[in-house]
Amino acid sequence: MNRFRRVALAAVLLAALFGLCVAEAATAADRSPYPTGEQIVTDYESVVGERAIVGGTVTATGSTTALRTTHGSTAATIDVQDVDRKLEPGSIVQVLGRLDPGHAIDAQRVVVVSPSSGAETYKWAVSGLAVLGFLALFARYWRVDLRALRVEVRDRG
Amino acid sequence: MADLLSTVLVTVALLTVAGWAVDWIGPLWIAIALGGAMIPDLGRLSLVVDPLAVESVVGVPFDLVALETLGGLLVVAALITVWFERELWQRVYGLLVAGGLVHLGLDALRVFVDGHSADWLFPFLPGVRPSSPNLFVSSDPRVLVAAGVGCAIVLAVDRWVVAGNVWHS
Repeated sequence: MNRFRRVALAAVLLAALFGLCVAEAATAADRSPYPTGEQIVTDYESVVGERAIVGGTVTATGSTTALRTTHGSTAATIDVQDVDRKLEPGSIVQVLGRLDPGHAIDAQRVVVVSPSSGAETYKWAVSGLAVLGFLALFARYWRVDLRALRVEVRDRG
Repeated sequence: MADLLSTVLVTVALLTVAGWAVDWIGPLWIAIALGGAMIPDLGRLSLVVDPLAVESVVGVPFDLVALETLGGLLVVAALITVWFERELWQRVYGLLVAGGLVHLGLDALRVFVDGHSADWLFPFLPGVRPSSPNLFVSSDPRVLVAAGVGCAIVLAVDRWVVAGNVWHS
């Protein structure tokens, strides 16, 4: 297969991937029994009263527990009421509950996905190691021919 | 997601076991499967590529979370496969998808607050969220320990027990 046909095929697949990302976003609200993260962050008033899952980073504990939930670069702070356990600032949690007016969720259930910011750093660090390990193994057995735009089995002589 | 290193170790273990039955599976091909195991994490690019910014430019809804689904895996794997030599496409695509399925399968086992995993079967079974056994959270180091021990056992069996071994033939 020559370079032109390869690039053309990749362009078609890239268009398909774009279409999938559009279809996913366009149907997200219909597929989910809960409001989407985008709705919670960008249009909170429209989902008040609904049962929802809110995931985010704990930003405040004490008299009020608050978490910061994001969609892309946009974020919202939600107060979590009726938390049945002590949460650490910087931990990442999922909260299931009813969305109340004023950016608050009446928590039915809370799970801690990442108990501290250190745990999250650990996850990213070991994931980085995995990428390095993959690159080392890949480079040992395969090579990229940039002129031919092709990946080939490395000639190990 | 499970941490990526655990996913990689589980993929290595499963492909090594598969290699005991399938002659051609060796490190050359396990490297491809490991690449596949990383595909669903491309959804994390939404940390860099703001979906709302893309939406405002293209004028339609857009979310990279599609890359963390079965449909995303099948398309991205094809997008990678086309850069390989034509006669290798079948194996490359199959192993990229196999690695990606390990990742999606492990993800579906982790803790979800309502006991159901994400609808990762999109677009084939949209809205279906399989029950999760709530086995682990990604940041728990015990996941990596379990994956590491499991992988080490498989590699030891491959090295010293299985005659036509995968990694040292």
